Amino acid sequence: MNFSQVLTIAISLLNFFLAVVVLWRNRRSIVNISFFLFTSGISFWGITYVVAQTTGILFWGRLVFVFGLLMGGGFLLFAKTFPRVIKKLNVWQYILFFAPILLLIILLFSTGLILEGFTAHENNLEPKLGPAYYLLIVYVVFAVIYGIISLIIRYRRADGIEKLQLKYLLFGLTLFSIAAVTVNVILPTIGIFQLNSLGPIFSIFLVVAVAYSIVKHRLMDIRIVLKKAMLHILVSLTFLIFILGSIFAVAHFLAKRIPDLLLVFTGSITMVIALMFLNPLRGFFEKLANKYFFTSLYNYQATLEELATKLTAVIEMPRVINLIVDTIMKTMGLDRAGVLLLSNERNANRYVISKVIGFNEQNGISLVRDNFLVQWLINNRKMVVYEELDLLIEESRGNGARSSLMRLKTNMNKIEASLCIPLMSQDKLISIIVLGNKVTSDAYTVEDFKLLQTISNQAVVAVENARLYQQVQDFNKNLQAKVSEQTQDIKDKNLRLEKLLQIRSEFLDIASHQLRTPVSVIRGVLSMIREGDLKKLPKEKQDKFIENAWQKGAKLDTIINDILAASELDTQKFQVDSETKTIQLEDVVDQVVNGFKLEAEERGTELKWSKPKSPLSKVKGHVNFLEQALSNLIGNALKYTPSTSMVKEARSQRETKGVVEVAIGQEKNDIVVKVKDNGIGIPKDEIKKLFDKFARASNATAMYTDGSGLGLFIVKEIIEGHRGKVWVESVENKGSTFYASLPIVEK
Amino acid sequence: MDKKPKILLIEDDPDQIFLYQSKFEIEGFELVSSRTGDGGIALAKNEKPDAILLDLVLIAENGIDVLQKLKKDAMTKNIPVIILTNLVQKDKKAKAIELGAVAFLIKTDVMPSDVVKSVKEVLVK
Repeated sequence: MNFSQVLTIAISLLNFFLAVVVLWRNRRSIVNISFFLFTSGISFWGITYVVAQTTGILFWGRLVFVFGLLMGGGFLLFAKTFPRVIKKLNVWQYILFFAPILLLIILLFSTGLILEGFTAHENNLEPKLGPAYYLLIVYVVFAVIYGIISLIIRYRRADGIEKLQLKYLLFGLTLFSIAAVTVNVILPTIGIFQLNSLGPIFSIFLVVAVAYSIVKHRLMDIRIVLKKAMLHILVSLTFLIFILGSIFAVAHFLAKRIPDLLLVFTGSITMVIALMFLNPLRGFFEKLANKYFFTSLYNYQATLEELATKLTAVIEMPRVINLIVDTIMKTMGLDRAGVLLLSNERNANRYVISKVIGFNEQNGISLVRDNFLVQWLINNRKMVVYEELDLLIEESRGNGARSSLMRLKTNMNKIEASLCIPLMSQDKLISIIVLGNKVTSDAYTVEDFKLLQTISNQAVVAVENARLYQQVQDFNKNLQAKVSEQTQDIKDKNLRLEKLLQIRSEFLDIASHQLRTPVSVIRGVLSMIREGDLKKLPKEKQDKFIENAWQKGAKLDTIINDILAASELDTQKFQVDSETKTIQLEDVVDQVVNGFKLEAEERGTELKWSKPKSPLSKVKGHVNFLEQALSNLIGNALKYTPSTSMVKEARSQRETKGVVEVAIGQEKNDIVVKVKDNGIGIPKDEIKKLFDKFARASNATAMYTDGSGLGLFIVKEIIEGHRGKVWVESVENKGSTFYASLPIVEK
Repeated sequence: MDKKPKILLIEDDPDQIFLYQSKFEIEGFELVSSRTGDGGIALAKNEKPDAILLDLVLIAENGIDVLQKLKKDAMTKNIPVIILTNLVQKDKKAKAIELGAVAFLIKTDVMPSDVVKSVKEVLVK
């Protein structure tokens, strides 16, 4: 036995192992069956070839051809069914594929038309080929070309993961087929047999391509099986090496001869097969045992039913999410899982973490930060599988999508997420379930995907219900808060109203007192006249009575006017707005000062006023109101500046002549009116309250007991209503200066 | 003839002092007056009036405080005090009565002759 023969055996065993694993994965699928036929054909082709070459027995030689033919048939069938059956094969296709094989096998064994026997040529055995061999060539070449072409057509039409699977398969198949057909079919026809042994070895291309496709692209979903099977391969190989080693060692050292190769091969193969089936068999019995003692494997149907039953019992979002996450994690045996929920805020396309196990919260959010994943899930309505992202990247059009997908891949890799499952309710992505890897590091199987899809369908309904429930609850809470808020508002308003009422009643009290005082004097005087008391008094006293009543009558008039003005001010009719006229304030002052000239003269008080020669900037204002305000200021100044001629009112006689000075000027953006007197002044601690309603300085009350206390209040309301300011500087017994400023109209 | 009954008027408005003084003198009373509370209390002690007419609104003081002081002082606490005011609030009246005022007259409701009548009634008691 030479090196190439050992290599052929090893590769053939590998092929057979592959064939068995694929078949074992799904014994009913035509894809798996045809792949089994094809690969096991290769395998037995290689083995029988080695046996035939070593022994030179005609039967084994003919078997080589039989498996070669089976290989071709299997390939045809596989090419028409992989990766899935698009159109079911009809009877004629089966006849076209397999009838030639049958015919050729009959010819092969009943006649010598294909293989007559072997001839020894140098150290090698060479087959003696018959004329019908060309028929065989035609069939095999047809099978290879037909198969490859149909696979190419399928490759072109395929997309997604199937395309990748096809790509690698085609690559391996083409290499192998062309090489094998060349060395084993074409070359022998021109008499070159030396390279024959290379044929089976070329099948390594196929094995590698298929294996890569299995691991990388879930070809036939056998990665998980393969992984477990690796154990068997290693065990088998170890045993094989040990057994072969012992046999050869014993034969060499004890019997001094080469062992019977046929026996060695048969023994080795039997052993490998036995080892291969050791585990599945054990699994079968284990399953049987589990069924009666405990269940550790998930049962698809039972899981769904259990979840459905439990979901009907919960409505609160956290419990729904818990249930879904727990179910998925437990059944799949996952290391991490998380759920992102559409935020409840209106119009917000934001997702918040609802639950995470294993993931870092911040990492979970990072998946949806750039919104790409969300858009992708909404557009495609299917889960994102980390392992398929490469493919999506390859297929994506446009740099934007490509770089976004690459970013997503990096993100998923960083947080070790394997799957993102969208929960779509109509066109809304209400939630994203993010899953990690299985604890066992196994890949997700097609069954897993199916189960997850069904679970997510159920979850959509449950999550949507929970969302609605939560919204109703939130609404209730909001309603409660709104009611409380408005109740508080009503309470506040009530309090303000009570306060207003209190102010109003105070106003009425004071107003009634102010009004009653003159009335009581007038009535008192009148009653004494009526009762004849006045006649009993001397003339000058009688005159004083009449004068007093007269003065009080005038005072009553003033007070009534003040009160009416004050209550009108409360309604704020005097405020300036865009329609208020612009005026020259110095004209208003001039008017008012002129009105007081006579009174000042009577009082013996000097009233100083000089109107500016050139007009000042204009202000906005109601002339009648401003006249009233200025009258109050100038009137007060005269009233509280005692003069020698006013004997009756002057409580504090003094030498100084009374002077009231009125001036107007521009200061920055304001027109300021200044009314300065050298009167009684205002006590320092009473200045602050001076502009309040009914406030009167104590020394003013001492001077005149019956002021309304409304004059300065009216001034303040009018000036502030004109967006101006009013203030006072005063020293008691020295005099006061009142200021009123109004803003200049902007041009 | 007995000595003229002496009345103390505590009132801030000079016009009203003139009014009541004239009336009471016509009626045969002697009337002393003060425009401030403190001045009134001093007069009450010195002049020992038979009755006091007290306004509640004074220049710098509150008539209620003046009443309280009068009622606290042993020298003045037995002098009957009649409130004569233009304040109409009921709580003011209740407070004054509680503090010992014998009557609460509202100026616009009672004419000077009515005031004299009330004072006479108080003095009889």
